[in-house]
Amino acid sequence: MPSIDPIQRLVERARDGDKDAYGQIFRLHHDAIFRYARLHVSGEAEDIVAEVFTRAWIQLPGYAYTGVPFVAWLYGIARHVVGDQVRRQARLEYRPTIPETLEKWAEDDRLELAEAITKLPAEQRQVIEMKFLMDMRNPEVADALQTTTNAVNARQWRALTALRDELKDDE
Amino acid sequence: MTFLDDFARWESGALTREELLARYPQSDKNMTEKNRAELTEKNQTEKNQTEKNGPSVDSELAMILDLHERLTAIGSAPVPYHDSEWEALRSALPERNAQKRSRVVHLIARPLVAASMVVGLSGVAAAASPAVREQVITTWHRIEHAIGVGGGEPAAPLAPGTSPTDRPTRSATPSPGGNGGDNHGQNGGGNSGGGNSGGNSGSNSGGNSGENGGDNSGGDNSVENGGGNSGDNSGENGGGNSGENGGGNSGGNSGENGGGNSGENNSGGNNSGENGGGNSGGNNSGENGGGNSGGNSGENGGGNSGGNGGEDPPPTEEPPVEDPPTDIPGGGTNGPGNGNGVS
Repeated sequence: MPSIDPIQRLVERARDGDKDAYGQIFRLHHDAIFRYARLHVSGEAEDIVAEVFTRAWIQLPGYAYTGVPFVAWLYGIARHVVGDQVRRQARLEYRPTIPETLEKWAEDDRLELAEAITKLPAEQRQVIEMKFLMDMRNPEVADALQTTTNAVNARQWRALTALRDELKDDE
Repeated sequence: MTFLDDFARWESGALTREELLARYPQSDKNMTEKNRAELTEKNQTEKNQTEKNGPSVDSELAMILDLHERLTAIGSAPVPYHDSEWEALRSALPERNAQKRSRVVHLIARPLVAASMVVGLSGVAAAASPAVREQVITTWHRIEHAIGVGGGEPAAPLAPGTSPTDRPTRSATPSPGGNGGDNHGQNGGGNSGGGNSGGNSGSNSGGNSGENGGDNSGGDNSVENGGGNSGDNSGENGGGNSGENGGGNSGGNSGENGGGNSGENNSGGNNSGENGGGNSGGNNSGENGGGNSGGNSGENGGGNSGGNGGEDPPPTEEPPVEDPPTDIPGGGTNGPGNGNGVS
């Protein structure tokens, strides 16, 4: 996870229209957004990443630094983009009950986990997604959620417990 | 040292998985269905206690550690990245100029919009009342009457062939500008636009068609962005367009004797006819002084004379013929002009 201040300088330059600076932001946070997208959306993670960074570029003039890591702001945009895509896929795609290939098994396993995550209460889901997918450390998650690190630790534990229960019920 | 502290130490690598499980052995015992049911019942209570004392360790810790490792594996799985992705995205991003708006502007923008909406909506709400509407209309008519504009009466026609420069001085009273009517007939009448003063005043436009086209005399446009006078005169004797200052006067005169456009800053129209009229523009001055451009075509082309940029006229063998006023009374009818002209 890169430190915040250099990123903030890049963000300010990007806000003024500097695409080179935005390119550096893209490279720094590409993986985090990709992982998040890949967990929730099958096979279209790259498109999701492009959409997230396009929307972020458009919305960047309205971004104001409040001490929260920039990646948390990106995460908020990514949630909307992924949410839209998941709803579209739910309308369009038919998923067979039994996967046809090993890759499909793996993908379904991942999607099963993603589905369990989406069932978590918002405060727990945010902790899990920020920590494991957006590559944020617990203190950064605490900053983003405006709470303490201890509270984040506790929410994480509750989230893991709930996930375990949810996945166990599915088996 | 609470369980959550130990768990955090395990996450950071300070404790191994085995060490953590060894510290909380009861959590990894075989759990009976009864215990699970009890756990579910206790679940809410445990969650509430978690913030204070850490979670109950009477749970399947090993399974949770497995789940944690699974999530970590997903989070650290290799991600395909090619710089071409950025290049493709870069070209798709819209250009954006530097945002240099001051914070003050940023702060007042929204309240200003909100205030404008309140005022606008209040106006709309008030206008819904017939009494209010009637009062506004009455007041508006009084103002029009006081400054001598409006009233819906058409401008009095000029006598055909009357020189625009013979026109009496127009009032400098600000007005929104008049629209000359259209005159059709054997002898087109004249359109006399009112005076325009003020920023971005309106235009005088009227067309005359007839055997003897009348004059379109634009009002005085004395403003930074004066309106334009535009009128087409077509007839045997095209009229003239004149304006003193301000916007451009563009009028097309076509007829046997095209009229003339005169004014200080005129963009003369096209005069075409047997004897094309002349466009005489005065001095064009200003940051963006207009040019005098008038196309003269006819057997005897008129002359362009202007302070700036007029084309040298071709040598004329005979001067433009000025058509005398005809004896035929003006048969034109005045179109529905706004009637603020001064005759």
